[in-house]
Amino acid sequence: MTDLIQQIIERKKQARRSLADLPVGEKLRILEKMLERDKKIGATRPTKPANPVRWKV
Amino acid sequence: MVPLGSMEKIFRLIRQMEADGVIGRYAIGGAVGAVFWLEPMTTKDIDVFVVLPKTPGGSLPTLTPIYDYLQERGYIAEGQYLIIEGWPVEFIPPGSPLVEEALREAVERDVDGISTRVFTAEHLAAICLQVGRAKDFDRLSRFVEQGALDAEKFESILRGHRLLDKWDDFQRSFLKT
Repeated sequence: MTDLIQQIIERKKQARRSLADLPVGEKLRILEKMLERDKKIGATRPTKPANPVRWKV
Repeated sequence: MVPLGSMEKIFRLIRQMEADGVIGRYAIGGAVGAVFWLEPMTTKDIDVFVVLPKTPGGSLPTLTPIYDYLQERGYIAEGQYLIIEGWPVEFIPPGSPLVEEALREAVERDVDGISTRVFTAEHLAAICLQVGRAKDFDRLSRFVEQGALDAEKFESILRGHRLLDKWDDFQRSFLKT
């Protein structure tokens, strides 16, 4: 793994740690906002591939 | 501070349902439960694990009283969910001894002055390991990464539910660098 990728991973971990340390009420408010934003997303569903990859069981 | 909106109302309503005897002991699980211990993560629903009260005459307990109670208050059912304050909420009776234990040992948490009950981080992580979908493994690795799990408690739960082998497999696949 290159140094750059390692740095990006570390930064992401640090960002997640900072968010995790917030008070629960604050984190739930963020979650509420995320849901509100998700509801506003309007997207056209892409067509499915004719031969999709499937799990081998 | 911006007050909590829909989530506050849901926590109050669930507590009231418990006080009214519509549900027995309850606890928040799933992604919303995990948010009590980790960073906020996107989810489409709220999982409320509930002990269903005993029915008169000893017939099998069902979710019908929950649906009746909430529909009388204007909430609508959609598939396995009840839509409460815009959130799909699923009431789930425990389906395994691990979830039964998680419900028994769930902890009270205060959210902006509202008391609610949530699974412990260790039980949430053990349930992720047991269920074993891709999103569960992702959540489990976050619990480990954040240092949110008490090692002794977690291993004791895994031992009690014969999950130690699965934990070894998980560590080999996802945690070893």
